This record gives sequence, C-alpha cells and structure tokens, in this order.
Amino acid sequence: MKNLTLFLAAAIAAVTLSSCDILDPSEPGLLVPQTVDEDSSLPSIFVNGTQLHSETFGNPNDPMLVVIHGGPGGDYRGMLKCSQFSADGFYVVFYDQRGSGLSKRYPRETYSTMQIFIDDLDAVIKYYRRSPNQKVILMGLSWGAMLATAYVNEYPEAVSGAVLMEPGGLTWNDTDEYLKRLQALTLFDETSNDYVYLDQLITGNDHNKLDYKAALVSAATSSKGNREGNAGPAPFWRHGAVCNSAAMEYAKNQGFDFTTNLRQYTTRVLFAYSELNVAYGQAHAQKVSSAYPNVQLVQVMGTGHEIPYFGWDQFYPVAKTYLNTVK
Amino acid sequence: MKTIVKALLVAMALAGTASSQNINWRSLGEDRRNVVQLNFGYDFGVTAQLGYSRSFTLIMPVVVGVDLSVPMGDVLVDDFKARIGGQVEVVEVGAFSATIKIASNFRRYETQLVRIVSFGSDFAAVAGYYRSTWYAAAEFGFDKAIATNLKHSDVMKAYFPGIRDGWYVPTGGHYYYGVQGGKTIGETFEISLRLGATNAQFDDENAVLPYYVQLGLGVRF
Repeated sequence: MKNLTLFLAAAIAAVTLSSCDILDPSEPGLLVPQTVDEDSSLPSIFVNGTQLHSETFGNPNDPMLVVIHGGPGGDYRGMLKCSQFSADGFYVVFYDQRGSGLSKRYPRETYSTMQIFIDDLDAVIKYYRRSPNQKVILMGLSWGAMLATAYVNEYPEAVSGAVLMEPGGLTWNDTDEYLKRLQALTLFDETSNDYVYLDQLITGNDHNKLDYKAALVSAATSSKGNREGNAGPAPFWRHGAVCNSAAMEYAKNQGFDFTTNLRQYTTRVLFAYSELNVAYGQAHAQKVSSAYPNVQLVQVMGTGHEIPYFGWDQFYPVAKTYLNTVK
Repeated sequence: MKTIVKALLVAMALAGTASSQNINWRSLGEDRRNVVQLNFGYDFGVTAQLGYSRSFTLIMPVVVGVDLSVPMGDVLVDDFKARIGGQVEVVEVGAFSATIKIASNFRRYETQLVRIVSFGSDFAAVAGYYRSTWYAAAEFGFDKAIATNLKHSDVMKAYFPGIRDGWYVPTGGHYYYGVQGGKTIGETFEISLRLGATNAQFDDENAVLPYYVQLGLGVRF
C-alpha cells in the first residue's frame, strides 16, 4: 500500500511537471528585469566608462537637482515622486548607480572602493550640466545621502545645496552603530526568520539570482513590525546584490570618513529624519548632522525610512521651501 | 532536461523512507522500535522540529521516519520543511559505526512578494563512536533544493510585470558538517545535541548565518 502511494505521488508529479516549462533561475529577464546593457529600450547614459540607467524631468537649463538613491545597490524608482520638483523650476536628474537598479553590472572587485561612486556622480553632473553657472543641488536618501555628503566633502564649491534623508552615518563608526540597531536579528521574529530561511532555498553566484534573492529579502525587511518603520516595500526595479555586498565589505574593512572637509561647506543643508524608524531617531540625526556647520534638522512625521515615498506629503513642502532658498 | 527532472522526482518519491533523526544504533531495542523526537534550535531560522521514526532489522539496521520543522514567527504555517527518508548503518566495527542517510524534503516559504514550494534531497554520512548509553559522531551532508515553484504576488508583479512564475531547476544547495552526540536517560528518553556549519554549493554566496545547532529530546516506545 505504501509503495502504491509513493508511486502515485511520483506519477502525479511527473505528469504535472511534464506540462510545465522548466526555467533556469540564472537566465536574464525571468526573475529580475534586464539591465540597460541587456535592454536597449531603457533610458541610459554613458559616463565614466559605464552605462547607467538615467532619466530627467524639467527644463535642462533650470538649477539641477540630482536625486541619489540608497543601498548601496538600490534604485531610484521609490524616489520618482521627486520628479515633481521639475514643476517648481528644477531640472531633476535621476540615475541608478553603477551595479545598482537597472544600470550595468560588474564583478565584485569593481565596487570595492567608495571613490568610484563619487566619480560616477561627478560624471553624471557633468553630463547633464548646461553651463558652468548652472546650480547643482543634491538630494539623497540613506546611502544616497552619504554619497551626496562624500561629494560635498570632495567638491564643496560645486554644490549649491543638499537635502539629506537619514544617511546611516557620515563616518563608518556612526554607520556601524546605526546598522547594528537596524539589523539586529530577533530570535523569534517573523522578519528575522523570513530573512534567513530563504538561504536554504536559493543560492547563487550570478547577478540575476543574487539580485532576485536580494529583492525577496527586501520584503522580509519591510514586513510587519520592521525596524525602519516602513508601511511595506517601496517600489523598486532591481537590487544590486553584489554591489551592496562588496561596498559593505569594503566599508567594514577599510572604514570611511566623509566629514574631513565638511567644515568648509557653510551653505545650509536640509537634514530630514523619520518619525517611525526606531533605529534612527533624533539623537542619531543630531549626531550625524553635526558634521555640517549649517544644518536645518527636520523630522518627517507619519513615515519610516522611505521618506520620499511613504512620507511624500509631509516631506514635499519642507523640501520645496528649502530648495527655493538655494535656487 | 525535463527527462532528468522527472527521473529525479520519481527517485525521490520512491526513496526508502527514513528519519533524519539522530540515532544511537547501540541503544536501539527490540521492544522499543518507535521514537518520537522533538528538536529545537537554529537551522536557517529558529526552528522547532517534530519527528517520528521506527527501526527495522533487515540485513543491517535500518531506521525510517518523517519529520516536520517550522521556523518561529507571527505566522507559523507559512514556512515549513517536511522530510521523509531513511538511514542505514553500513559499517560496525566494535563501537565504531558509520551511517548513510537519504531523505526527500519539501519546503514552503511565503512573504508578501512570493510563495515558494520546493522539492529537494538531503544526503549525509555520519560516523562515530557508539555505546549503549551515549554516542559521539561527526556528520557531513549535502542538501539540494532541486525543483522550486515560484508564484509571485500582485505586489511583485506590479514592480516587474514580466516576472515568470513557474518551476525553476535547480535553485540552491549547501553542504553541512558538524558533530552530534546523545545520552540515553533510563530506557525511554534520550537527549541529543547537533551543531555545525553550512557552506553554499560551488562559489555561491553563503547563508547570512552559516551555522546550525539543534537540541533534541527523544522518547522511545
């Protein structure tokens, strides 16, 4: 009887699968969208030896507002509401960083430096800039705010203003403190177990599989009760898993300090933090923002870390007021 | 490719059923062939596992059985792993013993982006020192997620309309290696401890926490 049951189960399985396509999880375009070098219909620019997914909104001659996404390895889809600033007299520039979003992928060692992200940002600005007098304002979320600061630190005279949303830290020590609070695994928590349970089901060493797995893990980190205070996953196209992993490893091993020259930057900076991100909070915001000599510190109510998506209604008027002062 | 997959599934389904429980061959008794075991620990999540096994004496000792494990969380039944398999003692030289374990596994995982069900296999070898009231052994095994069905939610499809639901083959695998030991208490109870590390197959990225530890309580009857 047992053998008969087993045989029937195997037969049913065979019949079921014989009518289905068997798919390869590493094949481009099945589980994650193709990148700009794989899909020529995507908008892109060629800068600094790479191809980046990029698009703009508004008059190219208006002051440039460069929107910088988080991660590393995120993308700008969750920040697209910022295109609204184009109606307020800004030329809004979006780009997915190297190895992130829909931009071209590279081997791991390519991302083992912070400088390449700074150089790519500089190249994007130069690509879109219409005149030497055109003002450039940076708007970054999370890692994007850290990258914006790294750029200000290196080129303080080139930036007319900055909107920074919850940078993890502007030094590795501050960032590490924040990440420890954010990523603490709670033994009996649904979020923590969803995060690690996936490891037995999907393993990989290629960008397609790893980026797909990163997308699923992002859902675990935005599940009910998540520490970042997000109401759910913000929209995304594709996570850059290798970029994220390599950059994090570099930061842990080499450290970084994006504040060495910030005292030179006396222009007022808008520094926003969220009400619901329990790992961030006012104390951390004050500590991190204190590296700038001139800061407007603002708490955005009713939202977690994904401020420009879930907190747009609260964030937009504050940001617009600030941008009009530096325009 | 399809033929190979079908053959693998048939082989898995027809594999002798045996438990992947921790077994002390020297303490098995003619009158207590059944074991219910409760394990708790970390195995790709904080998990609780319940299993049943029964021993037989054929040409050599064989144990068959099933087990079910669930990770902790607010929703207990959205993720789980069920195993059905066999283990046979292939070498006995004095107190030294070596065992081969083969199991088929079925896993389910669900979040707001995807529902995953996966069929796979688990092969292991265990070798160690076994006395009537205790044992200590080393283990080495390979766990493969062979055929995995991905069904994505409306949220995921809104983000990427072109995403393909379906059967993906194969999706992952990892090696595991560690130690295990146990102590019999009276004639009915046995406690066991199993701990070790995991390593993803080939050059794949390792797990976030590549370790496992399991504390077990077995009841014989």
